[in-house]
Amino acid sequence: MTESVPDPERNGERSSVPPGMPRWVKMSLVVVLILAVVLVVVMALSGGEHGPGLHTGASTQALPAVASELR
Amino acid sequence: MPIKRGLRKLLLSVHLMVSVGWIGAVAAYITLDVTTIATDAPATLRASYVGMDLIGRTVIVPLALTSLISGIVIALGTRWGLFRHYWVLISLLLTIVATAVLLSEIRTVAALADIAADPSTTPAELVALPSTLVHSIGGMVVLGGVLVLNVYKPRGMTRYGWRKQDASKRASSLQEG
Repeated sequence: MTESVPDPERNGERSSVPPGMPRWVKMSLVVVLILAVVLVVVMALSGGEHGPGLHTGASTQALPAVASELR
Repeated sequence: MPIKRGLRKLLLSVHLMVSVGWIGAVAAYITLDVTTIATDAPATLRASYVGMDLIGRTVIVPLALTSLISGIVIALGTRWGLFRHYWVLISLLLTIVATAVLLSEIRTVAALADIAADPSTTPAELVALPSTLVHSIGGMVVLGGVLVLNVYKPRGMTRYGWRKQDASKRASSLQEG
């Protein structure tokens, strides 16, 4: 959803030294990191049914097998 | 390469339409996803899983891919660039992650829909089918985050963006001198 109305070069961001990472980016990274850790802990405590393997073809292929077992 | 104003406005209109449409389609998907948890009625469960698959494949995936591609084209065709500002860069990364998880998850949803649509699947098996609510709500949160970033456009230039801007200013100073 990029928009082009404001001119980024008019943001007053010019200086003689390269800028550091803004505070909002650092704060966002910390929040995302905390959320990721909480998610991993919750998933581990709840039986670990969710993991990277769920985002691979393996999980999809396993579904019919699970359904067969239910039968 | 800068895009002409008329084309840029057209691309921006398309980008806004598909991006907001993506969020709306996910909201519709979540409604069906919640239904799969809230009901034990076999007919409703079958319809919900099949509906989730249809919405996912025919609406959400095309909207997601169009949003990603149009966003990249607009960013590259304007002074914002793709890697010059943190809000653009983070929006891009979040959209790529959301699209990648979607493309992976859609196969799971298709498999669930196949099982649900199978007449031999019993009511007990239908109730036992897993939900995808964690992914759909997570996706909605990510898309909301991207939306907020694009509306507020928080300040912050990357080192790459700063170098590009500095080189551009130096070049124009030399031309004036």
